[in-house]
Amino acid sequence: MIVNRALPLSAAACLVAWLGAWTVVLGELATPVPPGELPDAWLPSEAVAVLHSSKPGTVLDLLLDPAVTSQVPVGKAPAAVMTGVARYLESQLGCDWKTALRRLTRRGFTFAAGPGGATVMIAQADDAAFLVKVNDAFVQAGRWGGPSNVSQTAHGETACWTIDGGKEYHALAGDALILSNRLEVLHHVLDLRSGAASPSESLAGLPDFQTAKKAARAGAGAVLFAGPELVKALPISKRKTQAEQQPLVVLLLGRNPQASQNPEQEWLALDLDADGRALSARVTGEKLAGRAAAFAAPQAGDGVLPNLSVPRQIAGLSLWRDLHGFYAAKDALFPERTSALILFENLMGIYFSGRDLTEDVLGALDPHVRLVVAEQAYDPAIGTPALKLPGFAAVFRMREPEKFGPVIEEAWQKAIGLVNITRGQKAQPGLVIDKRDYGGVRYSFASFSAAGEPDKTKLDSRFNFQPALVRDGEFLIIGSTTQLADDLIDALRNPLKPVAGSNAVIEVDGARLATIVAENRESIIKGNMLKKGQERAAAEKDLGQLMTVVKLLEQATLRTGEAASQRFVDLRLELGPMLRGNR
Amino acid sequence: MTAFPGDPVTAWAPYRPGGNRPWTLKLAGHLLRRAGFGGSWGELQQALADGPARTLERLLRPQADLAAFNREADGFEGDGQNFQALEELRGSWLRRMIATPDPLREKMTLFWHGWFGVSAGRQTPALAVTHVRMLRAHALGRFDDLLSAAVRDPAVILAAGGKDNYKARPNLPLAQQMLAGYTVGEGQFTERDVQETARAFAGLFVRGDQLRETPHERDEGAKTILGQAGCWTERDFARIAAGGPALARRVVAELYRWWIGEEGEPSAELLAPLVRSFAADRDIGKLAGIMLGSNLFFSEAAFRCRVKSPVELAAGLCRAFESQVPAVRLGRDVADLGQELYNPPTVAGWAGGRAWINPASLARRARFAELVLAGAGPYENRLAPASLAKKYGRPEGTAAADFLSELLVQGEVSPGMRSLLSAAAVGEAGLRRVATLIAASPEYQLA
Repeated sequence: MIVNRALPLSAAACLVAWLGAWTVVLGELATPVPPGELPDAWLPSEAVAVLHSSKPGTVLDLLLDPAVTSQVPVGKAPAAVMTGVARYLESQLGCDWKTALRRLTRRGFTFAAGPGGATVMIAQADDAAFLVKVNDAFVQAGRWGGPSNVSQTAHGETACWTIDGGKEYHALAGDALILSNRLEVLHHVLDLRSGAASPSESLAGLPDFQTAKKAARAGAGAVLFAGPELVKALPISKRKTQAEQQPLVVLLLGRNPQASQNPEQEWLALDLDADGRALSARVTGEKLAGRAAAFAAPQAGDGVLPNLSVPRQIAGLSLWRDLHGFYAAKDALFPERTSALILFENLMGIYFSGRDLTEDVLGALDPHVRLVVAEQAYDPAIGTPALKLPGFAAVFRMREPEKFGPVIEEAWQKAIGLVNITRGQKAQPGLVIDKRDYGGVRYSFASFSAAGEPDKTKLDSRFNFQPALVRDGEFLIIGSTTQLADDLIDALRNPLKPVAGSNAVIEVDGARLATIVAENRESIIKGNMLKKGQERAAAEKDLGQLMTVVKLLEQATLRTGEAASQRFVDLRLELGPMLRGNR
Repeated sequence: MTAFPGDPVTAWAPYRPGGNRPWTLKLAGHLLRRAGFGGSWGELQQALADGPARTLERLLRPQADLAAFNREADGFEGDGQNFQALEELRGSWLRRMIATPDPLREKMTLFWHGWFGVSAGRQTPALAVTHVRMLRAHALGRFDDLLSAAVRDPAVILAAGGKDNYKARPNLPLAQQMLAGYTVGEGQFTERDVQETARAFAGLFVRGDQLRETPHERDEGAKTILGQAGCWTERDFARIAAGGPALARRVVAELYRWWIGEEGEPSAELLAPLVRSFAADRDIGKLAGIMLGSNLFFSEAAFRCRVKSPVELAAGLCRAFESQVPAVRLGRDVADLGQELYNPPTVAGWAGGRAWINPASLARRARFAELVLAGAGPYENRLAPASLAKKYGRPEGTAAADFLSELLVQGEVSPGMRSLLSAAAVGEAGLRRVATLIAASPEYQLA
């Protein structure tokens, strides 16, 4: 697949490509592929991305859902082309285009892209007569540019068609139509299929791809595999590389920034549930040896605790992080940040009255750490801030609550005091520290006084904060609001068992996130106008698109960990009721 | 354009186009640059069609829906009680300068910002916003109203070191700054004026963004300030200072530098008519009308003899290309060029003039022009010379190069430069190059 030509964009070529993708010709297979299975034995190993659907009907149901199509901006020209294509098809095939698509793709559809823009499409179906009609239409469409626009050659015993003066090539092979924009690629696929080329030259002979293939869930409606080249090009991969030197990022990601990376092995498998309601993505192939950080590697049988559940929850993050191990390894993890870390340690010494940060503070905490973000319900007696920020809290487990509890209480009160002094220097109101009882727990919190505020419907942003420190048995809650602290006290009443193998789980509630975005709509729009230089209409459009995406999402879950000596990153996106309601 | 004849009466008489002094694109650009931040192509053409008197009248009394614009622009600063951080405030102000239908007022707000030199670095955003809004409200009004508001503005009082004003310990640094910095200027007052002015401010305290007047700390005794005796307070100080000839001379001289030229000191004889007029009514808008409509303003003596400040440079480019840009980033870049809005270097504001430029800052200005006009990068292709040239029917080659040179420097380029620009004006990248070359040229750096 080493050809450097782009796909043609003419209307006829679009039609050819589109038809070709959904066409099947009957016959015997040299390398049989069961219906619905990914024909990876036919695909060259140079492929960088593969999209396969064993149940294209599911994908079509999703893509043709009015809730989706109504949100997809379609320009006038593409819309006109598609309308023309649809009318032509319907007249030739005697059915509406949606029905035609479903019949043409009944046994599977595969698309692969390789270096230099080379592509291969394989369509399989089970209605021979209908497929012949489709193929006739396909060839006829190719002749729109003139009779010489279509020619036929042979590769071995297989007929190959050249369309539009060499812009498209396809072959009729068994029950499949194979189409490519490169003749040599088409020949290579045919050779792999017939056994003329070695199986080691196919994706079926690539161990890392096979690992990714196994990672895709059985029964998925559609799967997208992205190879190492694409995984490396993903924005998140680039950011990861740049940010990995930041201690907090390293702690969150659980990666050793000094360990050598081997992205050549990484494949991404993204699959869509058979019912079209959830997308899952999994990155596999990265060997654990020398890569995973010890501070993020749970002992056998251990793992993260399930996320806590509180009312109005937006997101939950559960981590297995040996904080003591992380900080003890700081010199090895961050050899270029020694000075900054010493400064940080000295600062922490003030809060913790000279105690050793590694042994006496971080060592006092268990590796199970949970973070919760939740929408706030504001107390009418206090008022509502103009900018509504969610509450957030971290929940730790203390190894020796009696011993460490007073230590963290003292540090927390010092931090509040420091905030007050800093704000006081700027003549800003400070926090008042107090005690509160909830659920049999007496805990410390601090709040700003709202007395004298002129408009309680548009309070300052500081009224989003009511910092709280809760010591509830072995649990330590450090939260931004008392409301969330109360809810977490309730949530912690239900004992939870660790999930073995996982070292991080993030769950995001799309509906709650949408609410927060909607409540801060004007602030976000103005922020975008200022920061991006947009006019209001453009900023509103951008936010509208973001809201569309967020509304489509009911729940997102990201899970990382290890399984079968492989590190995995698993992302699952569940689609929201907006889509399901239209089914 | 004719040279200034030298006689004060003729100098300040209204410029009447005609004969050997025609109204040209060059003069229209000159007026829009000095009175505001330069014009878009449409504004230049409108000014050319309207002539100087109508253009100036529109600048002084714009007909646009200012209330709606200000509501939207104020919204970027905060919602009344809550204000953005300083970086966003800087961006908000630049965005306002770029879009405002009232550029003269915004330009004068910038002038008074430098006059009072209030730095928000150690103050809250709320104080900074309130201060600049006060400046904007009085920017073209009566100077005594501006001063009366300023002497009770917590931001001004804090900037002058006047947080505490005890009767038992009058705040002399505050009084010194009020007299030397904000009103009559050095050499126009005595040590006793300082002491008595400090007593007039006794009883004022800034607490939590608010100015508090504490009656028992007021000094009710008689004071003599600038020759006038009475039981004065800060309000009386403002009235007395604003009413004297010294302050009128100072304001007129500073506005001469701002609007007419920075090189050399204007003679007292030249300024005398304006000083007399301003001392009589202290009307800033009227003074603006006289200066900006005068023979002197439209003479060769006043043409391209001011160095553009970084704010003028940046806002001018965006106005010319009729586009907003990422304003927070623009604020940072303008600060890097030496002008950090809301944070003048001292209470005397920015030195201005030749202080803006040196070999290093010229290189930075050229780099800024390149950055803001780049097809990619932090400014996201917002300023698009090719699209603008096409919009006005001069898409490529000499026509496009001439369009950009007329837009940015009203065609003030040498024949050699014009040939160079014409040759380069091919394609989008070529037109970007042309616009960058003009924006980095000495002509564009001068207002």
